[in-house]
Amino acid sequence: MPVVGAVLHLRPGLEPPTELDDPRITVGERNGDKLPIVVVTDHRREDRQLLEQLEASPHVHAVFVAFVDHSDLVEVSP
Amino acid sequence: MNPDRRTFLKGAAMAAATAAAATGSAATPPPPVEDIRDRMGPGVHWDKAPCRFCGTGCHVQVGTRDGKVVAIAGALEAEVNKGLLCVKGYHVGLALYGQDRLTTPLLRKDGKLVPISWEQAIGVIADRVEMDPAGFAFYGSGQWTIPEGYAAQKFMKGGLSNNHIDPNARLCMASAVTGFLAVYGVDEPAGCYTDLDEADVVILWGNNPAEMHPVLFSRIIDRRTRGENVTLIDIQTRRTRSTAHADHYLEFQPHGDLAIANGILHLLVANGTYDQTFLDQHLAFRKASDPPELKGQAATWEEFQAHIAAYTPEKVEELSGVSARDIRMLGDLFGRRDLKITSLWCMGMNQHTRGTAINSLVHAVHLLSGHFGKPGDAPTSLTGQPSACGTVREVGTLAHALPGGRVVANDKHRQQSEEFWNVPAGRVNAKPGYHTVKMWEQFSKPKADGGDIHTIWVQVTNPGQTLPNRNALFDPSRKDPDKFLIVSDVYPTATTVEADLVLPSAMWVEKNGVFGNSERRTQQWFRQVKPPGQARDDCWQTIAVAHELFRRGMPGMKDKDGRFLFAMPGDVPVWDWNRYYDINVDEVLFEEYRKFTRMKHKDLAPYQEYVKAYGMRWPVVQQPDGSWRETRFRFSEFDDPYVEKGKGIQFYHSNTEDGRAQVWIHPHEYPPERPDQDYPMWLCTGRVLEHWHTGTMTGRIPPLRRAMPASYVELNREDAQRMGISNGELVRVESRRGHCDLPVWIDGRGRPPQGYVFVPFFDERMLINRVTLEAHDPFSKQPDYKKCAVRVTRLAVAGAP
Ligand code: SF4
Repeated sequence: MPVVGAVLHLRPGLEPPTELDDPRITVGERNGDKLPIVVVTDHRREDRQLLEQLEASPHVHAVFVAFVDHSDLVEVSP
Repeated sequence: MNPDRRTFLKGAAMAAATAAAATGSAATPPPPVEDIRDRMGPGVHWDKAPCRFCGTGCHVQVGTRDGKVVAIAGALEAEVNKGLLCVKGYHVGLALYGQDRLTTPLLRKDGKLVPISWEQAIGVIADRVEMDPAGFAFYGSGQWTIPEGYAAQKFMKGGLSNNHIDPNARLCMASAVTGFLAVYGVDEPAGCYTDLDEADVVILWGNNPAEMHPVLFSRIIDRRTRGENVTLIDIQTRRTRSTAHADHYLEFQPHGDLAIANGILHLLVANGTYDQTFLDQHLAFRKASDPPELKGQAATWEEFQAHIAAYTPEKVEELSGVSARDIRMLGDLFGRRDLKITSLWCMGMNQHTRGTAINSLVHAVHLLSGHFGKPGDAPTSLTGQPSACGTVREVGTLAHALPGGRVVANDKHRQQSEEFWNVPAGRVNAKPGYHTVKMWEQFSKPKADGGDIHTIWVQVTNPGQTLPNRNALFDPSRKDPDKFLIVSDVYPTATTVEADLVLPSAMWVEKNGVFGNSERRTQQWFRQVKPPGQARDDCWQTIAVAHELFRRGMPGMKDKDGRFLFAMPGDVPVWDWNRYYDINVDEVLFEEYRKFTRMKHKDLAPYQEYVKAYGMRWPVVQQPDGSWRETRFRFSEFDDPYVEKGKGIQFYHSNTEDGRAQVWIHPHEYPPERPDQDYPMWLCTGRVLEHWHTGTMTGRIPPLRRAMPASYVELNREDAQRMGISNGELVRVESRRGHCDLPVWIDGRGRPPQGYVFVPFFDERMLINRVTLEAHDPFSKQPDYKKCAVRVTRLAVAGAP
């Protein structure tokens, strides 16, 4: 189960995107135009899709990653 | 996953994201935050490492448990990235765990690669060297660690008296090197990333940092989100992701950059807005010599003025396609003293048959306008690879170079190197070896036709995918029984599948390492997990071959005292893999190499200082209190310890030995191959955000592969309509050298103008380097992957990219 901590760079003066209304996303405390979030998904494919959706939002300048746990993946690899 | 663990991880993820969101500019220290390392609990061990991928040099914290990398966090303490990572850094830990890692040495027998032992593999390489040491070549990498590159360099130049060692970095930043040398007499940028936090104007000269250096680019975007005014000017041949953030987009014809830079110089002089004081105190003029030499010959201010007189805005518009109005806008900006201007460039200016010239001209624009030597005022080249600066430019793993900015052609430099290596006088060969294109030409050519390279050992790179004009430079040797290709790598690649001997290598945190990033920052890390199967460090591989030759009595593998060239303190037999980590070989080699770094004011601190730091920018000089201080701004008295008091700015390696930098006269020239009736379009090649170079690592990371599964050709919508081609359709991109079949992407991520196509090179199933041109810059010998003439023809309908 992937757990990712990310930072959204919001466009100045704009509110966070509505895509954040998603049970898989926990929103942290906004700091200026930066918004920390945590994404917890069942499959790794989903977290990437979610982050891409957020990045495509007109409210978001860019998405960067601050933390990723992938023990679920390497533990099944050889 | 059990719920407790998930809660635990969520807490760690939120702590890391909150801390990263709280960081401001690079100058601001990170706020006190709960350390995510504590949050992850006692089962996970954390240690630092630079990211494995691009030249930005972000630092990560690597979480390991039970011998596996299980988590990655951006290092909050690291000034480069302050806790943030791009999508590649996010997945860097997974790069180790592709299903098809190479785990055993493989030798080609009867056309098939079959497993052999390491002892056999080392013996095979030693046989090839012994057969004809002068015909053996080493092809290395800007992804080599500093100790790996240093060991290969010493083995070849200090051991075999053979200078045929050159890196893949020849293909990516050699023109930046020759540009710095021609202008300042010493390589690498004067400024650093801090310039991006200070500049009022950032100019992108043919690069796309939004995809290629994303975290660095975020520093600019971040300033905007904080309300700071940063003007971004994007000078490009096609629209990219960076364009979306630009205030001005200036689209130029290939090679038009030479005209644009000359046009700015013209306006500085015509408008009288150049910096007279800077000119009087710090600059001299230079022009081409006959025969052409990198240092050229002296020119006068009058000659310079006469040369640039022709580059009026209208003339530049004609040559470059950029409007006279925009050229005036650039001229006006550089003419203003109240602004700070940083120029950034990467492959667009380096992969250029006039690469040295355009690099020198952009430096000239900054120097003549006085936009130099203050935070935010800097001409700065970026590197694509994580240690192109550290391992290639500083260790000097180039065919003409020695460590520490020394060159083989200089008697004194050879003598110094022989002393440092304690090898007999005359051991280092005075004749430069073959640069990359020449090396592969000589390897491709039959022995009977003068092809004097019989064996190439490739480490940490993939020339089967990256050499230009692969049909001519790579394929012929694969059919020639006299030629032998050795490849050390971590996964099967377009090169390993054609190799005669394949050696499985350890990668990234499976070994100790030191990288040097784009801003002169040296970064150290320790091995954190063990490599799979029989994979071993590249540095060990080099030392093991050297020792086998020593054992066989090859004189070159001995120093003056008869000791092994790589003898370790306490005589630890590190050529025995079981003993390799009994001592820190990296530290021993680094300390030996460090002596060289003081020869040209590129001083490095002791290895142990880098263990404590998230990198330091050279020159790093010891202070009276014993501490070590890095240098952010070279040649500026306020920061560079080597500038004499009262000088303000001093170019202390000046080619004219008078403390002056050189402003070069370089005319605009058209590229060697241009579209014509048969091949009517321009081809440009490059990279994409998701894949690291040839995709051998990122292609094995499922989320990245899904995000960018296959290559494509970007085609302009009007061109597509005219040719009756629709999105996703399969087309043939064909030049005079070869062809490549790809699906079309119209209005995709990049948007080329009419008559222009772009193809990324990450996909080994679609080798665009069968199409590219090996024409190269006369000084840097760097090939031009950014422009050649092609035609595009319809094949059949395929799936959209
Ligand atoms: S910007 Fe470069 S160094 Fe930083 S995380 Fe991305 S790939 Fe790694």
